[in-house]
Amino acid sequence: MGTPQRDITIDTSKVPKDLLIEKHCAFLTGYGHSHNTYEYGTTDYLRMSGIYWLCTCLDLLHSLKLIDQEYIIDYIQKCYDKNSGGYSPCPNHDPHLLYTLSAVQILVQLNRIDLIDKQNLCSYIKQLQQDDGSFMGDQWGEIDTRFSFCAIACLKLIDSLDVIDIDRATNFIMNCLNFDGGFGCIPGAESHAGQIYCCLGFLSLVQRLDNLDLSTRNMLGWWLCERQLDKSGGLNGRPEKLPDVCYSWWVLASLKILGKIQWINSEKLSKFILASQDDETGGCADRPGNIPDPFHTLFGITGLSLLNIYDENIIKKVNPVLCMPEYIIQKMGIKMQLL
Amino acid sequence: MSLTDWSLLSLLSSSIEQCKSIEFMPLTSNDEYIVYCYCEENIYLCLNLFEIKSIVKLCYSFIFSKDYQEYNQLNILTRVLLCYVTECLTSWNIRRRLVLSGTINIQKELQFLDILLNLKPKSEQLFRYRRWILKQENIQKISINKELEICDRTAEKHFINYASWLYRRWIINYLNINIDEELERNRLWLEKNLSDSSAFSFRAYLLSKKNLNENIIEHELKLNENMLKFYYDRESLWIYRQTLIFLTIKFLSIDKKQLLNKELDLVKTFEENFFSNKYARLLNILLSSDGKQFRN
Repeated sequence: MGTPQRDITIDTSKVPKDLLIEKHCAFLTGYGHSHNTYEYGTTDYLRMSGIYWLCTCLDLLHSLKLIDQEYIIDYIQKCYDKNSGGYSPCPNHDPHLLYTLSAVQILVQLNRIDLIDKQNLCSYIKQLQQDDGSFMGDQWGEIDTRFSFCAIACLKLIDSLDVIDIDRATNFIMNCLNFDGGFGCIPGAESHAGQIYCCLGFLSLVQRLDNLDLSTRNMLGWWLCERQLDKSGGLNGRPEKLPDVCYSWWVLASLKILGKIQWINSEKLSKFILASQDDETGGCADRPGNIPDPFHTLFGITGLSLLNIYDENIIKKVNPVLCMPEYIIQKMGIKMQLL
Repeated sequence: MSLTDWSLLSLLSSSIEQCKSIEFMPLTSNDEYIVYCYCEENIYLCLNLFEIKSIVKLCYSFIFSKDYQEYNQLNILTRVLLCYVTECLTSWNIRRRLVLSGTINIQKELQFLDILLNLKPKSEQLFRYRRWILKQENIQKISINKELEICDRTAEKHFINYASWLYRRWIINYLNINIDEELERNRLWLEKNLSDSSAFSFRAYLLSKKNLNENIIEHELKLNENMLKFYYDRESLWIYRQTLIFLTIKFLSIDKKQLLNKELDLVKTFEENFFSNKYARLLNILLSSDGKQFRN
């Protein structure tokens, strides 16, 4: 016994043990205004997703009122590309499915779905579908199961799933299933927790989880809970990687969809997430002691939400498939399959 | 945006291929002049870590201005920007258009990417773009050795490199590389990089492309067993063994119970550790439940 698993050591005497809500809100709202910091400019290429992480996290923490919603709505409209029907991450940049989903998610969250040109958005997504059912992320032809998820999630949010070929899209996802029970980004690619989340999310949204037989579900559940590291309690995304707070989302949400979230030791994991908070600046980092950012802050909070450790008055319930506050999904009457 | 700014960016662009690799370093500026980069021993182009934001802003302001839209200007601007912000998809798209217009020479572009891959060995966009570029090139002009060397190098530079092994899968299919030769290259690579699960995952992928039979699997299990004798504390070896068992159950009609029992006997011959215990637990679950009921 005693062989080390690749992991980190947490100094439990030094790390935060309580949830630092106010600090997180200050961190997130500050991020939106920090035009002069290093990140602004160098992260333009993913800004739309950044705003989605920020809005969703603040909403889950009951603090959406802290940001200027008009400013954000205005920004999203500046990123709309009328010619294609998609959204770009930043004005002047090219549109892409990844940022189109972020834009749609924010607009739904801010109750401004009326600003979406549904017809144009539908034709944008439809023309990205290939003969084998897969989706390109943009006109340049790269294929990824992430893009399949983005396409379906967008259409689901605007209640237009029927414009694409769901049978073929599902076949492509099933072709990405590996014999270890996981999914990769294209057929034959290595299993990865992020891709597994996208594929399960896809199957959930189109209500086709029955495509996974009992033994596959179990193998996949096994693969996913093997991601929890023994010492730190954190989750990694693939074997032998170090734990990272964002997998608290990808892995847990996948297990939630499979109805096996109880396979994870939630006490250990929540300690790991709380330890990854920065008690000076607020925000979560990928692991304890590192620099926090909005991405890991959101996925730390959504992880805690799925673990059901805090009351809804503290962290709102998150939807495990669309990664948005559950009350919005309920309000819109969006249905999905969970095992 | 001034002529001096433009000269600075042109100079940075022309420095790239003077070196073999690019690095970010904290360099000291003073009141009189700002240090943007310097070249060390003709190997490393050192870019000043403190000037990233100013250069990025400058590049963007030129790229999105009306006055710098000539093809050769966009070429220079995106080259510099991508050294600093390699994941900027819009800049790669500008270069895709420049390739299609004939402004960018494909072989020269491959060289540029080669250098950038030393700086960002796991950049998803870089590999995506390199795939796209190769699809534009006459397949006879693509060097198999060069592409395999790039895969080896990036995989060594960044441990468990998803993007690099994904690219390798694509290369062996696109260039129709012999699977057995690739298996042998992989075996040699793994001898030096034993703890790389992505390389083992790739190996399992190669096996699944062959006409699997019991001899192949047997041989592979034996190879793994011999490695475990020396390195029984490496997680990658245990996970690979698990993968081989899954592969066998999936593709071969064998006596599953017999296989699993044989494995359990084998595990007992090793000194017990965290990974061997996990593996034994999985085997027991597969044995007891036919895989229908497992839970840990």
